[in-house]
Amino acid sequence: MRALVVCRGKYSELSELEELARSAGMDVVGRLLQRKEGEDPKYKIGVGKVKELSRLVKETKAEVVIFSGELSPSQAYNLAGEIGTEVMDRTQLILEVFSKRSGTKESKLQVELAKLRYELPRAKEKVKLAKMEERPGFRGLGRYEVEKYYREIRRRMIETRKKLDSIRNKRTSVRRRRRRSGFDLISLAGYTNAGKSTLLNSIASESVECGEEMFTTIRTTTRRVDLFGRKALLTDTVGFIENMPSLVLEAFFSTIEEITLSDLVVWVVDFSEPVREIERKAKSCHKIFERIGLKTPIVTALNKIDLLEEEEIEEKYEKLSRYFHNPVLISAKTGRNLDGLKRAMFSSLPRLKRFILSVPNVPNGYRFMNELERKSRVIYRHYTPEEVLVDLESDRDPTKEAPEGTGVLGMETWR
Amino acid sequence: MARVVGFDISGKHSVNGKYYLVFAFVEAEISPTRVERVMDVKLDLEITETPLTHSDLARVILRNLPIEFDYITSERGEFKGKEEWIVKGILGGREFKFCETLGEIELVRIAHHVSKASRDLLMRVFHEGSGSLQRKV
Repeated sequence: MRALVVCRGKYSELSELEELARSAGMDVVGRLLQRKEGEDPKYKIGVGKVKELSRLVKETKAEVVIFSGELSPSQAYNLAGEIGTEVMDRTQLILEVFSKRSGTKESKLQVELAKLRYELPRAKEKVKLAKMEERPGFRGLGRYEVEKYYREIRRRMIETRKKLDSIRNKRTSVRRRRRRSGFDLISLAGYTNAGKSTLLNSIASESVECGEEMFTTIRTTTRRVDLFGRKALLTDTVGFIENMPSLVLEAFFSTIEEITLSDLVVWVVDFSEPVREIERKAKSCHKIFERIGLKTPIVTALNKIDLLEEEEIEEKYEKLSRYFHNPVLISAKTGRNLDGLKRAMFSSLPRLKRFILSVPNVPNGYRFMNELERKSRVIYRHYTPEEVLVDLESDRDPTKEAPEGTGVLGMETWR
Repeated sequence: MARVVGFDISGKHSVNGKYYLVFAFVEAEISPTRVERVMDVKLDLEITETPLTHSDLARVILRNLPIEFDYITSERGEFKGKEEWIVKGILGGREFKFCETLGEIELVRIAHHVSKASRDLLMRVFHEGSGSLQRKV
């Protein structure tokens, strides 16, 4: 589909919009920027720019015009009338990308919920406008009665929410089971296209799909990793974007919840970009972390350093230190300093308690030993005819399930 | 870790033709993700009949700053959406940044709680007298 991107604001917004359109499988044939601040209530952009846009649409034969920011139904209606093609805003485009990438049942439901949430406040106005005159993007609504259309959306929203809730409950029980099995939960978070999936592939020796386009990952993928003897589960999550629409955040709540409920977050940053761009994206990520109520410790993986010179890295590091907590320079693609990142992850995980136990050398004791191996980090074992001495680290008291005759020889808060 | 002063103002609206402004300054050591250690909390009060101007605001901020700190931070609204470099100028070239990281946001939130609670207390004393603060048994 031939698309034309229009932005009122900064140039960086326009570039990001263009990238988003490409990720949605569109062919960007033109771009238009209006630097003037403020907003025109009728068209969002100024009247002069609308005329310029109309001319550009005819020249490029664009089939859709994409606007940065949000358009009200009346603005979209007015613009469609003036320029004669379908008009779309940034939220619709993001939903389009998400819908294209959604593969699982959960992600499909999440996208559907987000689309319905987008549609609901616009439904009444949209139906009224569609009744007035048919214009591109304002036809084929079927039932034109306002209340019916509105109620239909609400009904579908309730249904989708119910389905998503049941998936969320399943996810919660899986998470609980994983914790009970002694796994630490680690999430990969960050701006879209920062290299989260590539990092997951490098650390967990996996082959999860990763690509140059934005939002390659919209569902979570969890893989087991070993951090110097500590068992952990690393989860790849959906990427962030500047001014992430609230409806997307809400619809993808169960996916984003993985970040807030983990023991550690690895924030992946594309460090190869210009300073301003990194700064802009870092600000957006902090804003989203704040919006989702993140309280988990963070390790920052400054990725893609294979594309930079040493001096450049130092210069950027100095300018941007305000934003990054526990920063580690890595290259997920070449595997540079992944051990350093693992060390930082290991030292940021919640502290474990160290126990020295004496377990009776009987069949019951062996069963208990197997459980210990599975749920905690056993450092040392020593067998004698009467007992087995075990030195281990665990996040809970292991003696609760111990067989009779087990003794605690030492206990210490330790890593 | 940076040593930052976060501030917040409560009472920018008029009450019976007067502005009861309470300023809270929280000096703390912050990391990008959280407030590590609060060093000092200061409160200041201004009662005026005209709305707060930028020069008034600068005067109050400057008289409450500690000797050593890395930068000052606040929400954008305190300076009515002015650009960062303009605010820096208003504050006589002192290093200033709008709160953008989790640590800075948390710091300004602490300052907000301090100023809001103090102003509520102040208004109670003004309207009902100091006796209103005694706990009813």
